[in-house]
Amino acid sequence: MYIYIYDSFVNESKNHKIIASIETRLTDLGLNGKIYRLGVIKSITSLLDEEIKKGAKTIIGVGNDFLFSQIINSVIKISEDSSIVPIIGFIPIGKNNDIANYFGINLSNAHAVISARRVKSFPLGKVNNNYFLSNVKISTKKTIIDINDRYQISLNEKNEAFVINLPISPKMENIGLDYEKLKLFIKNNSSGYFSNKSQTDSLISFQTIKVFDSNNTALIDNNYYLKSPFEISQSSKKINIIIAKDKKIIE
Amino acid sequence: MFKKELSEKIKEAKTIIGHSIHVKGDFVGDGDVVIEGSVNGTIKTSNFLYIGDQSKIVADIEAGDIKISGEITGNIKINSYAEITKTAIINGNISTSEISIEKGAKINGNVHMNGKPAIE
Repeated sequence: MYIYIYDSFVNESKNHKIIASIETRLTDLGLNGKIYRLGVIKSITSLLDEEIKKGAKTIIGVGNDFLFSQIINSVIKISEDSSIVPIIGFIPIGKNNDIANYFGINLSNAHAVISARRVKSFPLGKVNNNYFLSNVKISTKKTIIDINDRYQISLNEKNEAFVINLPISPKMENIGLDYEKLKLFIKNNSSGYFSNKSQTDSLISFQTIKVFDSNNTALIDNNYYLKSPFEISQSSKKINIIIAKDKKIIE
Repeated sequence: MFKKELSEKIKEAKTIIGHSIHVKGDFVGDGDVVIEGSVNGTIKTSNFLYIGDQSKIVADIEAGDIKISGEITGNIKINSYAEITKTAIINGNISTSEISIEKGAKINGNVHMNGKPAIE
């Protein structure tokens, strides 16, 4: 059973034609399902919890990165107490759609991608008890990061620090990727922004990093903040996502 | 040939400690390592290690190969090849199988080839 979650902005009148067209194509492909529109429902997590218990196997987000991150976090939290991890798909609408773009999905091919149902598992990172798919931005005001319980790195406000799981932002595409380890990318603001693997920037693979100081924050998947102290590590949990047929994935 | 390989290794390094970064503790690199910042403690990698010309290292070092252009205070143990450039300042002993030292480099310590003292 398909569950479609529409972000609240999707219901704006300017999107009515787009949504009608998508719904027609999905119906033609036999992919119709139950639709929930945000703004009316109380919370995504409680909604999905109910639907997954009822047997929902596929959750499709219709919106942008903000909604997709919420769905991913909700699905993973729910699946902690369940053996079933539903498959997640995306129909990107409007701006801020790096997540869908990363998986090769756009507005015109989204219905075909869902129909083809090429499902891949992706590892997640973990910050305390929260999960992330793409990255965590760590504040750098007098920040000391403990890495693998072996050494420490001092940061200052001239740095920007990101823990990267999947380099979903196009700005991060030059960063080498292996799915086995998280990477700490530290940008020196005197150099180009993710322009290349500049030697003035830093890149470190790690198992665990800790920030003990209580004055720092972590921005999770460009979505919400956590206050320090926090610990970041690779999670053993994976998320199943429907991706485009031509999206290249390192196996 | 080997110089070309070195420049490629630097470009494709898996671990980079940038100019503004200070590391304290036992640093273990993943794959080839470039250090342009400062390190206090120890440095270990079984692969290639590049110490940039602005880096200041107070650490004992173990690596597969090394190219040194910065300042190191500590003993250096290399499995294969050590390249010391003209800007390098080394206060400590070097143990390696092969070495090249460019004119202008400063080494205050012993150089051991395959564990045997070659220059004192």
